[in-house]
Amino acid sequence: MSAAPILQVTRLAKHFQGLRAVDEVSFEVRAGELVGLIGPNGAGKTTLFNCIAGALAPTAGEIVYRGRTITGADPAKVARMGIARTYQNLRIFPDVTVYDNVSTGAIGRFGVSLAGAIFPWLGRRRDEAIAGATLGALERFGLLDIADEPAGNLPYGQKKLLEIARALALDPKLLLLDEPAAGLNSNETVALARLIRALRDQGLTVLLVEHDMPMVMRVCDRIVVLESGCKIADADPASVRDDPAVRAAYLGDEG
Amino acid sequence: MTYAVVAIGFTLIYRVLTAVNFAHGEVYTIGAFTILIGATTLNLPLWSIVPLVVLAGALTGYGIELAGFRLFRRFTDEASLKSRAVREATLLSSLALGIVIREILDLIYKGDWQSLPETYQLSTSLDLGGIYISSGEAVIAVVSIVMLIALQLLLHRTSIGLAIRAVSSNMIGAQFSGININRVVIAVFVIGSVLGAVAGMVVSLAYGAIQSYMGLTVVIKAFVAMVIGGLTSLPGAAIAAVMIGVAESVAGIFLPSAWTEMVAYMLLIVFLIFLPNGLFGRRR
Repeated sequence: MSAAPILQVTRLAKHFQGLRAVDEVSFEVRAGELVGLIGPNGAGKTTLFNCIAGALAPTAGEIVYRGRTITGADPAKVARMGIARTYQNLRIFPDVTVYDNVSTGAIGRFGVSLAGAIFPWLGRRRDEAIAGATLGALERFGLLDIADEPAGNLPYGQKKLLEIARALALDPKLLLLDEPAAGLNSNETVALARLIRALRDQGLTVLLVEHDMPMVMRVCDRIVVLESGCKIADADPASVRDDPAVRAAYLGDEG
Repeated sequence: MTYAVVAIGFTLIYRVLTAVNFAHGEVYTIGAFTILIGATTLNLPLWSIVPLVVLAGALTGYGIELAGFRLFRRFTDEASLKSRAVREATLLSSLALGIVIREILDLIYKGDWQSLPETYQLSTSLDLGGIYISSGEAVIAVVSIVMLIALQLLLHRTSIGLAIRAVSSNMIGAQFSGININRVVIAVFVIGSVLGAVAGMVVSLAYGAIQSYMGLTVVIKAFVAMVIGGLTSLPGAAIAAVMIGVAESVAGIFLPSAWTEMVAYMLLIVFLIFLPNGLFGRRR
């Protein structure tokens, strides 16, 4: 656990006209860690996520990723720097095939050029790299068989996997997952937990927002708890489970 | 056929940005004027003017995007990218840009019809097994079909095409896949405007007459074709545009020529009443 921090969030605040959605939250994620971010509805988890991914500019505070300040950077740039994310509400491209959906992640990583499209010899190496990254991600998620289906036709669980596959085609160093288990049945959740764990074991750093408490407790190395925009706990799963403040605020009768 | 090429560029931009580019007709006009300037002022041979037209179209498209659209995409959250305010603002800004370009050309050329030197006009008569068409009209047909096919290949076989489809499908999702939206939007404007400029070029080669207002009626027809075709469907817009063109020429046989202008709008009304989603529109 002595690895260098890959992400440092310092006194981050995001206010929406007087509502303190995120209020001076500081935490860090070390390379190779799988960190859970939990809290009751409205605690500011997704807002915090959006600030890290560049979708929202924070009101105050700083976000440092691998030694570089990325506070308020544009989301596409953040993605290319190696922070990929998935969404609570899916953001796949429904009328595009599974293959092409994943391919967009790889395109984001390798870039596109109009010249390369008009003069194929200019873009060939890049196209090969994109195809390689796409096939790799599809294979890992068992989506190869359905690569030519339009993504909109997939069952919900596979759409979720597809979104993670697309994020991985970016070859991220840090993966932000926003409620990946929401809407999945228990079998799918177990499979997803195993998959996330496997990603972490391969060295990927993961920050996971999730409501499914047993899953978070099972897979995470460390858990950060937010309540009403403030951090109220930051510890390993067992300590978080026993923390009286957390029980009062969140786990309540569940614990 | 030319309506089809103009309509396709117009629809491509609409599909990606959900914004109407009313300056698109001026791209068509600029394509025509590039030919005129190249032929009369610079005395260039035709083959060397063609790349100039493509370049002029690309630059105009880029300029329209910078001046008329980029400014209104400051905010990156979903609500503002899709908001009515942005759509209405870009509608007006593109309309304004179109007026500016049109009036500048008007000022220089005094609004008169300019004619292309005879040697540049494609007006030889071709005999296609009993049907006579001018070589210019044949060129219009061939160039249109080639460009429509080329665009489909670009959209469905290349990585930038995929990026364009991704941005048009879900802009936020594309952004988080690391796609540089501004670059994709520029590409869309460049592609759409090259189509428009080339259309203006082949029409002026075929008919030899160029005027600063020529783009205006064409862009309105393109708009009508887009609506009839189903707003976001490129093949739909192309088919609708051909339909309008055919209907206009058929109507020209029966009606006085001043009335043929009405045909497109009558078609539009019929479609809005009976098929409000257009030919290939998705239900919404």
